[in-house]
Amino acid sequence: MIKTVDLTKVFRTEEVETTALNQVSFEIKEGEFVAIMGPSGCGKSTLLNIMGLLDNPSGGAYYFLDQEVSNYSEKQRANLRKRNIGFVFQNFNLIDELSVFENVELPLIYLGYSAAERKQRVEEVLEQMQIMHRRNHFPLQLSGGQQQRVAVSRAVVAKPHIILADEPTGNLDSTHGDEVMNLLETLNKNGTTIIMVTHSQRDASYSQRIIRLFDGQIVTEDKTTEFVLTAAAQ
Amino acid sequence: MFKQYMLSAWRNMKRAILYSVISVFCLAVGISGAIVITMYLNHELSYDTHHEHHARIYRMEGIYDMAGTSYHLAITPFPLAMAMQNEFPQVKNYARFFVEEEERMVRADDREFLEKGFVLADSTAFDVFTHHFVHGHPKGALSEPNTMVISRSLSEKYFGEQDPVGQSIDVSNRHYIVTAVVEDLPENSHFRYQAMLSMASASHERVYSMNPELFWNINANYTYIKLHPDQKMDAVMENMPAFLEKYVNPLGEQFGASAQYLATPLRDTHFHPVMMAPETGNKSTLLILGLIAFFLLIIAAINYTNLATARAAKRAREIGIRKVSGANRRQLVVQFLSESLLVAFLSLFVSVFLVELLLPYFNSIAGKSFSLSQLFDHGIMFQVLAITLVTGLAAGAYPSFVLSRMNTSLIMKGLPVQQKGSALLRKGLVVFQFAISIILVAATLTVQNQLRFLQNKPLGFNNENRAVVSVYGNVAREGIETLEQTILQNPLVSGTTKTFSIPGSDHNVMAVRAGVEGEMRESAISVNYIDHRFIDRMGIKLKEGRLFDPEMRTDFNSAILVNEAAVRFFGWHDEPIGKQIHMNFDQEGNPRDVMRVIGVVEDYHFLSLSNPIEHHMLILRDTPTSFRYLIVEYQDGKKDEVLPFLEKVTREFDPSRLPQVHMLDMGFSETFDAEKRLGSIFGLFALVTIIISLMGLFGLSSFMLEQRRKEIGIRKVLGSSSLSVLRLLYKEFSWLILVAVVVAAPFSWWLLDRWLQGFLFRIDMSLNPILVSTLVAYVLAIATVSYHSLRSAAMNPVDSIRAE
Repeated sequence: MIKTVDLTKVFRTEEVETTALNQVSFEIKEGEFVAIMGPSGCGKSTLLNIMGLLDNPSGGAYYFLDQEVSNYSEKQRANLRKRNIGFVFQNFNLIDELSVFENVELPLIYLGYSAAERKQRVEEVLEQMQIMHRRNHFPLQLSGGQQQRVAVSRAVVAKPHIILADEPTGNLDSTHGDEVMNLLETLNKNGTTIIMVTHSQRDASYSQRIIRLFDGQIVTEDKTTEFVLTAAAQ
Repeated sequence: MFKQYMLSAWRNMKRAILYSVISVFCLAVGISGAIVITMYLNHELSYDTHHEHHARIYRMEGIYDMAGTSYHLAITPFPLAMAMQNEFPQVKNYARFFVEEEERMVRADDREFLEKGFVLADSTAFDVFTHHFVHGHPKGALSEPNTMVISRSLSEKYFGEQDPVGQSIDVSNRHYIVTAVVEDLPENSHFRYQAMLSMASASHERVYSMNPELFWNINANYTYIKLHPDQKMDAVMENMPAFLEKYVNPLGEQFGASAQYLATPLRDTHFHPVMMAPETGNKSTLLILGLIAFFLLIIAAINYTNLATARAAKRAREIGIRKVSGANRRQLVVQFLSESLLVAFLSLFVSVFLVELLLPYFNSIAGKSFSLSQLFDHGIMFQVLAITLVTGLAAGAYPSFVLSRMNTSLIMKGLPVQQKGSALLRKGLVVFQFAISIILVAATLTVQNQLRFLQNKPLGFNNENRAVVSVYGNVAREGIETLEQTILQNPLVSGTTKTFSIPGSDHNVMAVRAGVEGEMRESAISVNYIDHRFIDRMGIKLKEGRLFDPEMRTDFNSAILVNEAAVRFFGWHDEPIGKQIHMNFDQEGNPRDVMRVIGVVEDYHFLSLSNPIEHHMLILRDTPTSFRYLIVEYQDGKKDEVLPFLEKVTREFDPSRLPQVHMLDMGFSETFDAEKRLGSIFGLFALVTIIISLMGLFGLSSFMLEQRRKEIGIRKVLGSSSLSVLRLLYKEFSWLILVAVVVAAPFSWWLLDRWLQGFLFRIDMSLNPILVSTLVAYVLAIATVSYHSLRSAAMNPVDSIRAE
């Protein structure tokens, strides 16, 4: 489903050149739940942005659904992105001026769904996420957990193949964090591929595989169970 | 999707209410100005188009050369129209209008009125021009002597609601029968009249129309020619030389003069300011107003652009989310353009109310009578909608470009997305706004200085405490000395004098031969006929020679006074006294009068200040019918007592007319109406521009300071005082104003210098207006940014650092 070969990303300013990703190669299969871990500044978010088709790599190849997309234009990327990827962010990234319903509806609008279809889909997802009673509220009127549930609803409403989650529990307490992780787990069980960037070992334990980055390179790729056992042994 | 855009736009506006109000209000002010100016431009450009056949109608004008001086007049000889119809097959019809007297004494329904706009007109006027008849018929309406057609408002004024056809009205003591009532001429008619008296009513010798061979030398009436359909005026003008040869040249040779005729299309007459034409429009004023409207819109649009791009950082997250949710760039551009259009159309809505408030003031300074309902005329409405649409799109273009271009991955990382380019552009736009404000303020000041200069310019005679009594008609003039004696009995009156022309009004120009270098050379000179007290009473100074002496009979028929300009003109520097001027020639060209210069008076402005002081001569008269005016000097501060007295005695003197008494300085103060209006319009729009610019600056300063919160916090933590922070902030805004001055000063100088060149008598261009306007702009700008700057400088640094 996703494959990178020697993926490189270099940020240049007038005087400084920073290599955020250095020849990163890996593959993620359909239906997997993968966590990406590593210290701050190791390139996790850069990798997620490239995987999410928000940014192009500086070098290497990126295969998304078997297409080499590393040289796609913004328009091509946007087109591919809106049909296949859902995003969940640490800070929820809801539009404050739109209600819960309208926030969740947004991807469907850009996909050209009719109003009736949108209503049906959004209500279905809000029911599923148990946030239907808040449909007319605005983000600032909700708790963090509720906001993230809305964000997850928005990520899944267009039935994407992949969900990219960037520290989805970073702004939540453990109870709400678990709720969100359970939601993602359920989605994964129903067939959605999930790629999650996290600092939290607890969250990473929900995944089947961990890619660990350091200074823009993959240092290990391990099975979660082994990692948990190792952690427990320490 | 559009609904979603609108919803999101509306909620965004509500969230940033201060900035939304500023944007909407500024655009509303800009659009209001543009609406008013659009109405004005439409009005000015639509003159005379209400006449069904306007494209086939022309006004004939004459260019007359007399002794080397050329006069371009809107009036022509009476026989011209008839001769043209006889000679040129292209001419279908003609209509002549003759303004015999500017003001007419009218008696209707036992009441008296002093009316303007009473003209003699040919019965063909209704064939040439389109009139809408309320009562009566066009056919035969002006065929008979002593018949008249009046306008609806005149009819209502005299007779109320009743049909006045068949009623009698006395005009200048003659009976006329009303044969028809027509709708008032629209305001956009270059020549407006309220009543048409049949040309057949005029005495034969007055109208000279019976014999086309005669009287080609007297220009008196307006001539309008209507062509047959599909005929071209060019074809007529091609044959004009032969026409002139047949009718005009023989007579011209006799007088040492020549004439040629021009045809001005009816639509263009309003912008054709030739001598004796009805008041015309001014294309430069239209251009200036058009530019002002354009700049007002740009300045208002700049506010929107500036505030919208300044807020880009605030909206970055929304843009990122929309992009992540699948929006492409085009969709975002459409969204932001929809927002600016929403703001523009909200502004249009607000501007309708502003226009309602603004119109009375604009009408008073522009001398028009526009009403809000005209806004809903299809043509104007369409233009206003188009202006709003274009303004909305222009204002939103840059923000939508900037916002939609934002890098999603940077936004999502929470990195700053503010572009350096847009900050520079914002500053550039502020500079532009202030440059325009400085130019407009400098223009207002310069126009005012020039007007003040003209109003205070020494005229070469004394026009204070002097009233003018007009005496109409030879019968009344016969008794002018009796009137003078009556007036002199009033102890408040210190003296009187009689004259044919008064300073500031038209003067006759006469063909003469003047003794130059030993021979009599043909020339033309303006002339006034005066009594012997005129020079003293008017305070005109004698330069050399002597004044008229009523005891010397020869002074009445062979002496003249000339001005210094005449001495220069004829080259009499060595010895002007005794030089000859021959005038009033007979058929053989021999002079009936041989005059000698007895004295030279200092130059004084006998014409309005729009004219140079030309060569001029004064002739002594003692026949009462030579005088049209009595100038009355009264004691200082007694105007309010003397004017009613003068009106009373004039009325007793000539009961057939309403008395005409006015101040001598009126002739000069009325001359610069157009410039005064221009000054007022500049003033008004300068104010509006400054308000818009300041509001924009207020909003922008708030954002600029918000962005620098952290910097200010850190500076204060490191020991900077509030005062030094304030100085830092002021310095930045001061730079913007300084750059604006550098941009505005040369342009203002060039523009205003050009404007001043249009005056014969003008102030010297100085830096003062530009310096003053700069100071005004600077003080106001600093006061505006102070609100936010003081708050920023005074804030607790801990708050700003924690907020980061």
